[in-house]
Amino acid sequence: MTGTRAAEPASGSWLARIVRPPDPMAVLGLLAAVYLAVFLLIPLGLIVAQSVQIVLAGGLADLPQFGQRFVLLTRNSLVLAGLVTVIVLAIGIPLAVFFVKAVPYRPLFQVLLTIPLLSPPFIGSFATILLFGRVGVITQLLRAAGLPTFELYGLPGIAITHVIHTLPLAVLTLAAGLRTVPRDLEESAISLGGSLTQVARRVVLPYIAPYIWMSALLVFLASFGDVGAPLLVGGNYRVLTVEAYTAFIRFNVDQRIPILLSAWIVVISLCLLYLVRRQMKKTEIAPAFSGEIYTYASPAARRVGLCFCSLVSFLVLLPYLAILVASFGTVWGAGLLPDAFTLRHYQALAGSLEPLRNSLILAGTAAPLAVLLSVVIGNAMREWGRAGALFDYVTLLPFVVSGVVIGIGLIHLTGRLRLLGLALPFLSGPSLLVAAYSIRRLPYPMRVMSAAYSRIDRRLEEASYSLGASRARTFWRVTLPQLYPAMAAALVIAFTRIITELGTTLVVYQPGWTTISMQIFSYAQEGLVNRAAAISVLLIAVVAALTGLASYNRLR
Amino acid sequence: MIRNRLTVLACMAVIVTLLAFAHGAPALAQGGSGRLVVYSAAPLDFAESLKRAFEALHPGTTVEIVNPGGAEAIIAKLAAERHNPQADVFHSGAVFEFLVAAKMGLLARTDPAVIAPDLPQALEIAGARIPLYDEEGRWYVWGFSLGVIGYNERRLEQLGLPVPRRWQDLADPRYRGQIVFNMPQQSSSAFNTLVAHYQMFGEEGVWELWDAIDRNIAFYTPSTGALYSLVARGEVPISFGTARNYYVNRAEGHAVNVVYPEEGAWVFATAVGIVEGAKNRELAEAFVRFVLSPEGQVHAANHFQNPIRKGIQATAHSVDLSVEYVENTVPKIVVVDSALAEEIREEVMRRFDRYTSR
Repeated sequence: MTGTRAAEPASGSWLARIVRPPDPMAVLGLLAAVYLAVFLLIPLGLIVAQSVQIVLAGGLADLPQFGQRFVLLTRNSLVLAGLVTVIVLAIGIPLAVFFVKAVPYRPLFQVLLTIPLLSPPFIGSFATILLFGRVGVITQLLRAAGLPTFELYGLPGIAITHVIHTLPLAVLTLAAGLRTVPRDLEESAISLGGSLTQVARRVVLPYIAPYIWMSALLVFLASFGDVGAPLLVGGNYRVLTVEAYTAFIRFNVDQRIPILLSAWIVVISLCLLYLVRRQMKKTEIAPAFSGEIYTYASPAARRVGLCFCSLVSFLVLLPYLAILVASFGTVWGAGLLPDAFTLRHYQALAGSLEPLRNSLILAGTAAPLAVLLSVVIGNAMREWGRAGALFDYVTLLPFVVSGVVIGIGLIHLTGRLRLLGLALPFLSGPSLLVAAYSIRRLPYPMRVMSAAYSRIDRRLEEASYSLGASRARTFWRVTLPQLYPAMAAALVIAFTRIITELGTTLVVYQPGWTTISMQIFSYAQEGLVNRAAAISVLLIAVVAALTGLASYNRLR
Repeated sequence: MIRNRLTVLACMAVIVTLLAFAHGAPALAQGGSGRLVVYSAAPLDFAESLKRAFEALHPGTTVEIVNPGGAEAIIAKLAAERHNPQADVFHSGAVFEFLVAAKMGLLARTDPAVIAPDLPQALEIAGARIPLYDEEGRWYVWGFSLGVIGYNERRLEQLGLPVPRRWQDLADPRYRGQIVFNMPQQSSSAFNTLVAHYQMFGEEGVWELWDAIDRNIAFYTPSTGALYSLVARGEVPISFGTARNYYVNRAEGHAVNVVYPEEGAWVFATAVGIVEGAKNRELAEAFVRFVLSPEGQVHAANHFQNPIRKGIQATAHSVDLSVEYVENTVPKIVVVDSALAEEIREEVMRRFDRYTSR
């Protein structure tokens, strides 16, 4: 993302510009770069370096079963992510088209479709067990009706959970893309005799190809890097992330294994990132931001849109309904509903609100930090030319690489630094968690701020310079105010993504700082599903309330 | 107006950060008269009840119970902190794990005559001899649970399957796809099950049995918790694990029960020990004595651990976990032989790598 450079006398390389005179924004940019290096690049680099060391030292020969398992794990992970991506795009593209162009009550569907994003992804897993497990509600209904049922544990279970969780992500990205399609483009196509579906297929979709590629990448990586769902509902289906995580936490397992697996996950993710971005650049059409888009006004189209959106929303939200019911139920064994209803899970919750408190503190600290980073890095990206473009890749890394791997890298780094006698305070305790979160979820506020920066009116800044203001003053007085709305949105997104994070948390866990996602996860694992459900409902309610509050403030 | 709001948010963020740092800062005042740090792998509610009880008995003390994520994580943490120990007590881990910690020099030597003057060197129960402390006093057993078969009564009834009474019943092809197990490659309790079976059935017998059980396994789960959650819900009706967890689920109202197999239930003894170089040695010793005392033992029983002292009954529920009851009802207890465990480790790993990669 390289915006046009501000109209200033060019004074040599970017380094020269920083060295004299000291520009506060540039200094901040450098600090951000150092932060990224310490908490992202070095940990990942350590893992890759260590794994190279292991391979060169003949380590692979020492781990005989590893090779076979390795191929199986890679194949499984790729197949799972690929399957999920295909399904999500197949449902998501028509859904996005209807959502943007032909559905009544759009705000309602917007809210409904965002609910899965407000909860940790693995919540879907234990909800799907309630629905589709061997004694699940839907399974029992199907069996009673004489219809075929399927075994949930394994690929089906993980895929269902991932599809439910990533569909909103894809739809939101695709919808953003659809909103850039100029009205006249579709109108002229239709006036030339094309039907709505023809035009959608041959004109609109190719136009938003970069967004389709981006959605595919986001969904693929989300599925590829997830650890919660495969752990809970994966059965015998082994994937890379779970192997890396379980090997890492057991000290009696050869520790070379998680390092090799983590490095491999990084390599695959980077290759994918490179390939997809190349594809995106090839298909990019200069976005002519027209503002107004073409909508399908015909009642038939709107009816179809309503049916389709309602059906998909219902299916996506069914697991959450199951969680709500479970939170008020006692034992939910072999029946369509729990044995009895009770408030005791919520009552028990009132006595153990510490994880919620921890999560609010951690997310409340990490989210502003992440937004601050994105503001600084966003500015650096448009001012620093080629070096700035590097930022683009680096800030996508945390999204590309699994949370578990980032966590493992950070732990190795802090271990190494301790060995060197550098037990720095910010490398342990909640500070480490805050740093880890700010990095892990950086891509989300980053995307919001990039979009915001691209819409900044350069002329105002140029006017400021021509009136004699320094760069810092211009930034503070002219640029920043234009960014405030975006910063507020970025804050909300960063907060919700951080508070629902699990992968990195499980690895970088600091004693005394159990987060609410960990609490839900441990209860779900122990079989105390009802308690896990009650906490999940609480988490979703809190996040929804905060998000709603923020949007309300923005709309005012 | 938005600017002011953002400034307020920014200030809040700064304050919250400072609070977080202050709250989470490493213990500086440790070693003072009243602060005890305990690394425990026990479930949260059990740990909390111990903490409250001990603080009540020793006014002015604060107990911080920390769970870094299981006994293995505790050992890793103790090793990492070896030159500047942050913890005073290592509470709740299998004896096997305490042996490892002792070998690594992480546990302090104590005098059993002082810490546990009224406990025998070993507990003789149901044909087994469970050592209650290490001769150098590096660890003390405060409770045990038995490795059993757990099942969901309702689900087995629905499926028309009989309740298995012996380990060898599990080879019955009727149970195909109805058993879930975790992986000895990753879980020490799973590994101990295998060692116990080896002791019960011998080298040939154990693999004959397990080749058959393997065919009945629905799937091998990387999550130990799934052993209990799946049975509690009735998703998979049978699993093997420690009795304690099945009792917890039963108390929640699930139709779960356990079988103490005729050929033997292996014993999972949980220990406590003082960390080498503990900053508050005196308080640590008091804590260990408390855990072993009758009051501490009642706490253990309340959380479904079998006490090691005779005559202890739980006050929080009606399940009888006393030594006397176990002696009368459990057919046989097997103590896992750690030397044997090391001998057969590689073979077990190899075979299970084969089982789990289908």
